Amino acid sequence: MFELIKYDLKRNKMIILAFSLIAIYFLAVNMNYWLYALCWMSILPFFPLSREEKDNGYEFLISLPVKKENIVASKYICAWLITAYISFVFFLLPKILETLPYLKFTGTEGLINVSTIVLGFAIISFNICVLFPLFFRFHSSKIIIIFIILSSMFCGLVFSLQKYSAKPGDFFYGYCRFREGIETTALAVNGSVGIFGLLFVFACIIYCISYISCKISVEMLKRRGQPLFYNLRLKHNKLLAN
Amino acid sequence: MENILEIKNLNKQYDGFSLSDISFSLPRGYICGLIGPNGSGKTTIIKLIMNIIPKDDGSIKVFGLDNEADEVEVKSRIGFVHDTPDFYKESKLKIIKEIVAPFYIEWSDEKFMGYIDKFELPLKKKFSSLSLGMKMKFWLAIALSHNAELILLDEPTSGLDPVFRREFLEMLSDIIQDERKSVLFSTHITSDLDRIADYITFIKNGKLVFSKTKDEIFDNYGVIKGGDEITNAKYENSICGYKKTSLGVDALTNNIQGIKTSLGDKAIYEKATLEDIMYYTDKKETKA
Repeated sequence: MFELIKYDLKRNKMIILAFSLIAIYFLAVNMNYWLYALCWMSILPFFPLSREEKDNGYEFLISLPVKKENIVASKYICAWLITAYISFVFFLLPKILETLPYLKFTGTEGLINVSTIVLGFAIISFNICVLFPLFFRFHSSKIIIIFIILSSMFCGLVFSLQKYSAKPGDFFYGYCRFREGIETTALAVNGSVGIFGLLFVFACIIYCISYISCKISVEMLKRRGQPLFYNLRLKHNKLLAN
Repeated sequence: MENILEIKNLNKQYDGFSLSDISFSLPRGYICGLIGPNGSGKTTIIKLIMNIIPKDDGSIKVFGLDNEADEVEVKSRIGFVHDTPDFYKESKLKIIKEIVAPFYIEWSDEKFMGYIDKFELPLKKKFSSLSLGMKMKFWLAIALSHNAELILLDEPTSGLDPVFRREFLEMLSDIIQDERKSVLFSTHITSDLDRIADYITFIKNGKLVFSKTKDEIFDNYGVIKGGDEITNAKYENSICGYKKTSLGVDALTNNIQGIKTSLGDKAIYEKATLEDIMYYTDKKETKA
């Protein structure tokens, strides 16, 4: 599986680099940084999948001595790694750059904190979990509409959240803190680190959803190229024959 | 004799096409040719063996192992070449080799480089810049570089020039010399099989017509040319197909000795080639 991840990252290194440059560009132009960042972030994890499809890679990978489960898992891990990297570039890199005296980016000043990053990561994770099984089952041209609708919905959500809070993630964080009393969990020592409790809960949810999504994707990959409800139709035909 | 491949009652349905009850086997140390017209199901059988598509019913045993339950082990011992090998078109050959090699425990760089030299392949060139023949040669080099016990080739000779095709067939003959390896390959070019195949499996419209040794086929099949009595009902079981022309009837028989005894001098008898067998089987055609 390590080989599969390595080769995916290797093949997509130019795209990852291009996205890093885009991030820095948006940072410099200082316009709705959040919105742009999220749009680009949500697209990037899908590149390895669509690239594989363009190269007829699925049929090739399936013919190699590797389990379908490993092929799917490697794509998920690769997507997470890319998401983590791009989150770093879009959100943490500006923070680091801000500390440098002569490199002053104003685009993200006052906008970025841990809860903002968590929100971005959550949105992309949800996107991955919903869309990956579809990518494994169908040709990407068939699901591009779903992809655009989902991405637009999330971007719209983030944009509207800016009305309620300067830091979009804080809106959710504040809401969760009020509802769940996160600061009182074992992981949180005081109010300032309460975010880690939320992070832990968030990580557990993401893990569960990803696991289910991954299982569905394996089944989807096995059925790739088959007509819809093929197995049901097969069972139906067998029953009729009996 | 140990079978390297055993297929029993294999079924697969598609919209408008179905592969029904395919059963055949291939012993270790032999070459088997899979023949049949376009759309007869040859590629589907090969994809089912490789578990690229799931089967509906039946069993496929490779090296005595189930091809689904022991997928990884089975595939690591098979050298496979696709019919349309257009993968990773924009990658250099060297990169593709680097992608593939780690998946095979018995991968030999020495063997691979030997084939690269032999086939005169440019490792630094992009895959898309190669001709169809060169592409096929590259995937052949990959398939032959990991000490595979079963070589599975889907239309491997279709894009190759006659000179390399002959060399390639000789290479396949060399591969099975140690009597541990076998080759199964599908083709339209039946003359290739005349040269090297030990077994022939003939598929038509998703159904198995026969799977026999080449000697058995050439001993029993023949083309007969004669009058209308060839289409008589009493020969029905021996006649596989016929074509009526203005000059008489051309027919294919699977019992040349029996027909010779019955018809005697009333007909002309010729040895059937594989092409004849493919052409005449199930043909009941009348031409003015």
